[in-house]
Amino acid sequence: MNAHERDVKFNVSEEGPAEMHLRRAILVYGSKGGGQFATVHDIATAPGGGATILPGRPMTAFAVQRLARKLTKRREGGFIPEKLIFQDADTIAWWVPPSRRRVWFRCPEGQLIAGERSEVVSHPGLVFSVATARKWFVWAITGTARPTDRTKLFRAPYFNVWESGQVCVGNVDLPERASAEKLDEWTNAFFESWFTHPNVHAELVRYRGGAYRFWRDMLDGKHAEFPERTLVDLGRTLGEALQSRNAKHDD
Amino acid sequence: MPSRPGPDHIKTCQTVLEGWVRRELGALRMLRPYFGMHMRETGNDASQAVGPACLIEWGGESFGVRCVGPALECLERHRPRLGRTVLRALERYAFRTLPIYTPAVVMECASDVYWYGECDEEMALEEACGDDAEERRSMRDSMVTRAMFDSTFPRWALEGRTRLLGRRTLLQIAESASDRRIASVIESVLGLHAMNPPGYDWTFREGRFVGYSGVLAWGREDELTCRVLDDYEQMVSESGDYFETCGEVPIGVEDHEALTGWFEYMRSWCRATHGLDTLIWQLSEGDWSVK
Repeated sequence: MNAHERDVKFNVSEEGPAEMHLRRAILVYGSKGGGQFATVHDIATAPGGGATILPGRPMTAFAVQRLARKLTKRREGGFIPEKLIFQDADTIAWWVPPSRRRVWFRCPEGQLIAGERSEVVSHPGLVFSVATARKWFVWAITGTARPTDRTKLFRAPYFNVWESGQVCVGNVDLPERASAEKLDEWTNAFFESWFTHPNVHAELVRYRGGAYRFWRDMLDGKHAEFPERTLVDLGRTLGEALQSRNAKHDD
Repeated sequence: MPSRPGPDHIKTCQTVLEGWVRRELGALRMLRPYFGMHMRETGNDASQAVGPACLIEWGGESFGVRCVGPALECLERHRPRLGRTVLRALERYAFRTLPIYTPAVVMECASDVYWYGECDEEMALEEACGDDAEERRSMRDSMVTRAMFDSTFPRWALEGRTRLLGRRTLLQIAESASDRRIASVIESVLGLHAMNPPGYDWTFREGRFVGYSGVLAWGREDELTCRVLDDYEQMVSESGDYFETCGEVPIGVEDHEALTGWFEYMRSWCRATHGLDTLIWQLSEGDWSVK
């Protein structure tokens, strides 16, 4: 008799994103002479949703520091991952050494033989860069050494990446922010999405037969190692690219 | 770049855990355990930097009210102290797995609700009525009294400190019993003793526990048990100071050792829960008044 065997439940849940509520207001006063003063005010929220700033009290230096620490939490100290190669107030960049990873293609029937294909293939060394404005770039590099600002960049040989190296995000579910702890999540988000079509008008790879032929051969296992000779030189270094991150993509 | 729906890790995790716990528990007839794993991200407060963690909790939904009086009295008639030995074993292992309301637990609830924590109503009457005999009589008539317990349950069902039968005696009784049901009950008790699941430290839980997995009333005419439990649960719910899960363990997501330890603990827990389920089933099924 096993009437209840299937009734045993093991519920697994994940805490959702925190709900934000208006808690306090800070009013900043300034004088012509450059003096600054701030007050902290509680908030009265009306049932209809309106809010009123209540009488305040001077904001102490300690309160300012505590608030600043909370608001800039992502810049608190911590161990630096080996793959992290660059970080400033806006941007974080990391290196993915040459590796074998699974890729997913969904292309017009016939281009890669089947409409949908997925294989584990070799990849060149890559550098990803993410800015806070969700500007997400990827470039290829040659060799296995950790890149420096003088490392030459090559076009990432992937579909759905513009000439500037910017990744077409589409409807990919991205990590909430770019931080040292999230590097793998960003990398996985790239490789676990569908590659559907080349986004560059120029040469994506130097390969007889073009980009589709290149990836068809890769998926068919014709290149056990990634053929670095096929990479297209972008004529600039990693340092230069990271200094000109505001380049517009060419869609 | 179109998103490629990836694997639903939460669902996968749930399916794997559910499969595991079902295999460990086996088929249950009475008890209805449930489990939950709640994962949370790193704490946001800079002053409380905690890593990603999960809280695992478990408990039992109530199977309702079942009568065990006829079975236990039959066992006690078969051999003095056999009924109480079985009942004590049931209580002991229920508190290590999924607690059940038994007569002794119900009387503790009555003590909590009506008797100021005493073993009868005298203190409560003294507090409320003083020496006024008429008022005392009136109050006694309207309340749950110790006499009600004594008339509903045999004394041995309410007393925790009685001598119990040992393993060797139980084996002898089982071997010589002509009634297969008696032998089966004893085998279940001995099985639970052999498993000897680890105890659970209830003292660190705050509030009163109300997550009992079922009620073992004495007989069909036992209205006392439900009356007391209704009042007890009402009192506790009004206080707001209670908990329902039978266990909870916070584990850091990367603390593999702690997680492995929990799985080991639960293996033993599941075996004992299955044994307890069998015992409750044996005591509450069939017509034990006929021998």
